[in-house]
Amino acid sequence: MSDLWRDTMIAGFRDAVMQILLVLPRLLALVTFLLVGFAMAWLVRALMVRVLTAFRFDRLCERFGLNQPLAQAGIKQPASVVLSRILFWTVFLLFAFMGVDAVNLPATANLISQIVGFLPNVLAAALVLLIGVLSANFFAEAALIAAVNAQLQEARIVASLVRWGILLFTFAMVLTEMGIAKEIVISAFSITFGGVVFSLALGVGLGIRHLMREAIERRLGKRKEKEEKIDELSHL
Amino acid sequence: MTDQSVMNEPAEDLSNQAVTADVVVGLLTLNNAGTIEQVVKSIIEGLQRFFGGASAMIVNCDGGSQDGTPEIVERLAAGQVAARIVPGAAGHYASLGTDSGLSGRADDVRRLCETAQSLQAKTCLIIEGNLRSLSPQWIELLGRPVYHDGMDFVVPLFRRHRYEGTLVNNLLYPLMRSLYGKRLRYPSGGCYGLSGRLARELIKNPFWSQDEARISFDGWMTTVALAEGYQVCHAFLGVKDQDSKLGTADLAHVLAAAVGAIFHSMEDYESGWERTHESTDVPLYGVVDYAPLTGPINIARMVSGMRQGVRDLLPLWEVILSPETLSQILTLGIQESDEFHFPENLWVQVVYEFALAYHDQVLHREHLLKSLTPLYLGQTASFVLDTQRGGTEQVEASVESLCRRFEAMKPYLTDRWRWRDE
Repeated sequence: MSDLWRDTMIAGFRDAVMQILLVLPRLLALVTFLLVGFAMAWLVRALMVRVLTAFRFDRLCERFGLNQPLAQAGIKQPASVVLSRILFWTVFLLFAFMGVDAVNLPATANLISQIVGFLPNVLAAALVLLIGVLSANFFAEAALIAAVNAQLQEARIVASLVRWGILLFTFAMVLTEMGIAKEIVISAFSITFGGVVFSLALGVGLGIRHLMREAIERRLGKRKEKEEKIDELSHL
Repeated sequence: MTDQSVMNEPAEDLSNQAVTADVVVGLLTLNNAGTIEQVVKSIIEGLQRFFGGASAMIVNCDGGSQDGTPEIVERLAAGQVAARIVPGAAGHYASLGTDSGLSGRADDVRRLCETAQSLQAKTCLIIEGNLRSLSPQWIELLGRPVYHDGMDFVVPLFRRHRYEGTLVNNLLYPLMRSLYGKRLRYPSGGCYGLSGRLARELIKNPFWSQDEARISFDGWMTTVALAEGYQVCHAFLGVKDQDSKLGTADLAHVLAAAVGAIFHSMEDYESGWERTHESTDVPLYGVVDYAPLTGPINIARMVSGMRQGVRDLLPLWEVILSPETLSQILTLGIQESDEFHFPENLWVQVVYEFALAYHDQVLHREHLLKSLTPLYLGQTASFVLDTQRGGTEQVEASVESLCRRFEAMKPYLTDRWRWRDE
């Protein structure tokens, strides 16, 4: 009886030690991945800050109007700091996922391969988002200046329409690229875009017909001729 | 005067031929059959009357006319004066909307300068084919200062009323005068007299490939002449009447092109203008007189444009202007139209800060330049309100006062320019 008890105890202890010995290297690998990942992420961030500073990235962002939407989104740091932080967390998370994969838990099996497989979509979506936000700011700014110089009282509305039109289009493209609720996004976009165009058509037909007439007349030069008759000022 | 047969060949072939001309009249044309006959006759008469002892040639740089303009030039010049046609110089109706209303003006002038160089011309005139008011005296007034008096660049003055050229009066002239130290009242005029050495300078200047230069080519030519220290003068030609087929360009576009050219040239010639501290007069040929004011000026619309800028463009101006300047501009937005006044100091600060912002590229440059339009309208409204009870003398006194303010406040620009470069 006592031998059986002793053998069972020894076998249980041996199995437990074996299990621990099997898991311990994986845990060590996880910790190592986390530490190396942190160090690598820190290094990449430091390098990125230097490179972006050398290329005057913040000034470029200011020039292309990227700082304004960042400020509106509550991000007070310069764009170079934001980009460096994103890169830091990307690198760190990549290493963290490698560590989790090394633990070889059934629940996290093939995690890295899945993430790596999805990475091109994420990168493409990020690029589309960046270009979309930059374009929205650029064209909204151009529309605002043109409308103010044409003395259209609704200049800010025109600029907002341009900005949100481009952003809407961009968000739809980003979600489609990420494969998130593709059908719903396409349907929602079509309905919204169609609705906006229909509203504009109604607006032109009913509400802002005088404004449109003024704009078209100005475009065709008829109004300018009329104005020149009462205004003898020539600028050059 | 040489009496040679008419030749019809491109400019690049000329270098191999032993043909020279003391005076080259560059005739820029594009579908000008309606006016070209009078223009060519005036040129021929002007050459015969005022440059009788010199060899002369008409060089017609044609932008691809479909109405037989070059043929008319050939026919009229035959037996009278040597003529060459430089075909397709303008690049087929490219870049419409340049100062003269002709297409591809920069290309035309470049080909003309190359032709003048190959002909070893001492004097080169630039004449537009759509001029209705060209007289033989214009040839004398544009050519004589170069041919006889050693000038390098003759810029015309025309008979205008006191409020014509408000952009020149309030911005271009004071700024260029403070930068380059020459009191050249109007920087461009469409027709010019050039010396052979200035033509050679223009050919080797790298600005031909720059968009800023090509858009406002006339202003660039003047800037090069001033910044490189060439002898510049004015010639009063009287009334300018031309057959323009293009509509009036949008004010914001005109302002962006003209001001952008000056701001851009500030980067190319910074070592020169930073050292210039005072201005001197330029010689004037002829006696200037002014046309009477012919109609009312819509001041309320200009003030309204300024107010709308204050209301809608504030986020952009916050990036361009200093907080002190911006706070003063905000107070302008609440003034009544009749009592509207844009202080001189403030206007100079605005212009200099826009130049600095352009240099720093804090915004897309075209947006930056066009966002200056409402402020310019405010300054113009104030200028008209301040001078409307006086005559031409008061307008000129007001312009002179503004120019002196630009010169006095130039350290405001140079200090910040240097500081930002460091």
